[in-house]
Amino acid sequence: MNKFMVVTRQVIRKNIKSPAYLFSLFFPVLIIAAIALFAFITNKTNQTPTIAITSNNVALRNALIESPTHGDYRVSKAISTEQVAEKRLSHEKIDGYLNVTVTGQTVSAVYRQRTNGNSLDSDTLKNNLNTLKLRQAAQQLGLTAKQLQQLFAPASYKTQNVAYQNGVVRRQRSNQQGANLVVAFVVTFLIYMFIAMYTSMIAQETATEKGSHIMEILVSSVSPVTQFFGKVTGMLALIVLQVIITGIAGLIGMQYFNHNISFLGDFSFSQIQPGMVSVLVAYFVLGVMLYTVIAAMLGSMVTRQEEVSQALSPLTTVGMLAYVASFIAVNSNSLLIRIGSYVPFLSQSLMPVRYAVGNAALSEVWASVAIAAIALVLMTWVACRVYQQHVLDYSNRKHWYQFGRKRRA
Amino acid sequence: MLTVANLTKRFGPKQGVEDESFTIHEGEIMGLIGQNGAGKTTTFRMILNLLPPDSGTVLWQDHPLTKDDYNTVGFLPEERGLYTRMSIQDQVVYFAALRGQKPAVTRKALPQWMARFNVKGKLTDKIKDLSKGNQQKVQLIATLIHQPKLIILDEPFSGLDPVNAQLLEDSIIEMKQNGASIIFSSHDMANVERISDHLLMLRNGETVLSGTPDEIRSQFGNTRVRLRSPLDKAALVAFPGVNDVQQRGNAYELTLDNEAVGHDLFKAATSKGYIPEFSQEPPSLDEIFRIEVANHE
Ligand SMILES: Nc1ncnc2c1ncn2[C@@H]1O[C@H](COP(=O)(O)OP(=O)(O)O)[C@@H](O)[C@H]1O
Ligand SMILES: [Mg+2]
Repeated sequence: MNKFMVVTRQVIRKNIKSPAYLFSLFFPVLIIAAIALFAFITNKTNQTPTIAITSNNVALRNALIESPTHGDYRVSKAISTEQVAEKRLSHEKIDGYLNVTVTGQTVSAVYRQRTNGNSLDSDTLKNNLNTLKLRQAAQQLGLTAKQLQQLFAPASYKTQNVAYQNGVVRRQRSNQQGANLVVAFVVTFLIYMFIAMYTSMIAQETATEKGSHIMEILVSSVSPVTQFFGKVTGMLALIVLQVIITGIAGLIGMQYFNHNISFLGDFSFSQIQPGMVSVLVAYFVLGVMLYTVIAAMLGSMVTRQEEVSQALSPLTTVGMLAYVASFIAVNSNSLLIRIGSYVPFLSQSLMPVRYAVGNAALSEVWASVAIAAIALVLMTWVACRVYQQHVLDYSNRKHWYQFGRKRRA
Repeated sequence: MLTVANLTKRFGPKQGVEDESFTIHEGEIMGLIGQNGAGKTTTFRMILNLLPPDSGTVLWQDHPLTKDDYNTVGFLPEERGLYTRMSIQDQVVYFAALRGQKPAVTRKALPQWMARFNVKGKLTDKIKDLSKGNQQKVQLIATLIHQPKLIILDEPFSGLDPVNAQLLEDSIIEMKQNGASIIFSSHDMANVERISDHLLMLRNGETVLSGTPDEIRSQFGNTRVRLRSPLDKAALVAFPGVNDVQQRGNAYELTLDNEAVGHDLFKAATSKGYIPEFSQEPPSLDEIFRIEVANHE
């Protein structure tokens, strides 16, 4: 086994064995499970109500009982009179009953329900009643079924969103855009979280090795370059693992909520373009790695572990600013936002959002991804050199991150 | 064979090491002595390429030490460091793997080493739960378990009680018998004198003494006498050529002007026949160490 692999495996093993890391790894799974459990419990306690239908018009009552319920209620057919229904209600055998009174052309209905019963979503019942009334009226007017259908066919209504770029209209179906934006937001947030997490992980680790002088053993066993790349590769493996777990948890969760919970509206995964997915994955890996590499460098520059957060703060601030700017990018396509979406360290937050709202074409996105990739190569090279020079440097030489504080002091 | 030639390192105006030269053959132990700040740690760092020398060369088996030689090195840094959250086994396996030893080999050898150093703890115990002494022993095991050929131990005896120091001495001797070249530092003479084939004393980076323990001691002449005889203190103090008289129980320790004084002293002490003790020796290394330190203050 070569030493590069020894270091890489050590980074992976060490973190996988840490409870804090495992928790963060499976956090999305826990969240999804918790929400699913919550939905399951609330579904259980709020079951379909059982109701009775009574009427002075037997034909109407029968027709109403036969109408589709869409699972909103269940009709207890045996109860046909108001007295019986009231009695059943008082015994809590049913959740409510509908009494329909037909007098000439007017139809009036009263729904009485127990306050402690399962509540009724009355839309379906109302629609059924209206349909029956209309059909009755139409029959009296002598209309055919076809005429009836024409009469009640709803007007067509659609929303189209347009985005202009260089005076050219590009069109996206609105729900597709919605889906992209949701995913872009979630992923931008996750990228920010990952950046905060992995920068601190690798910087702490490096600073600990240096502060505890383990570094002297490491450097006399493995060259700093091998060590650096081993560490960074180990981190990359952890990042990919976490992206996969988070992604799978997200997919399963969204699919589940799609069927069971309506907050996502008509969100659907079929609406996310494959292009969007590859963009997000590219930014995920490139963006987080860019920060991780720099964090390893910063970790090697401090002499004591307590200095880590201070040394990291400029880096994490940039990450946070980029994340905040991503909210602005939803509604604004200003020059600053456009430039920012090409700048490494910012692009991972800005470009996915710009693309999702239709402010950037796929070609522009890939250009920005390419810039980020080149930046990653360059930064890795720089970080590796700095790491090499600083891992054994215990002199209290002032580093750039200390200047501000010293001057203020 | 490790050959260090004319090694020099300055830290700004401060002297690190000045024109240091020595050779350690296979199966030899070199003891590096000197006060704090004498340049011992700096010497080790330069041998291992952790610190570039201003001038001078370090050759291992007649070539500069490169990363291909790392697997044959065992290094115990002065400031001990272990991953406190790792288990003993994971820790030792990792360090050995970094020196190119397969985990299976390390896992097989580890229990014997634990027993040899009498480490109190299970293989799965976390380092942070061990006592300081046991942590130090784990680090020693991690330094030696891959059977290195070039062993560098920076103050290995500090913090060890006499029993554990003896265990370490035995292990160092065993490594020497296996053909390793060993260099270690100490500011305690006792261990150094017992196990070193060669000694090098540094003071402010300069080499003030170098050679085998006997060579070094004989440079100072046979001027120490320990004596139990009918002669009392007053007679000894008055004796020509005797500089200093110290009473140790019912024996006396004398410092002579030169070796010849011993002959006269022996005659005088035995003039009435049998005496229980007379020994004439060079000063102990411990004393030489103190003389050398005092010489330059
Ligand atoms: N990185 C460094 N920067 C500046 N001075 C140093 C450095 N390392 C060692 N020194 C100085 O070099 C001298 C020798 O130190 P060292 O080799 O650690 O001594 P020893 O190990 O014998 O106690 C000391 O005066 C020490 O202060
Ligand atoms: Mg030292």
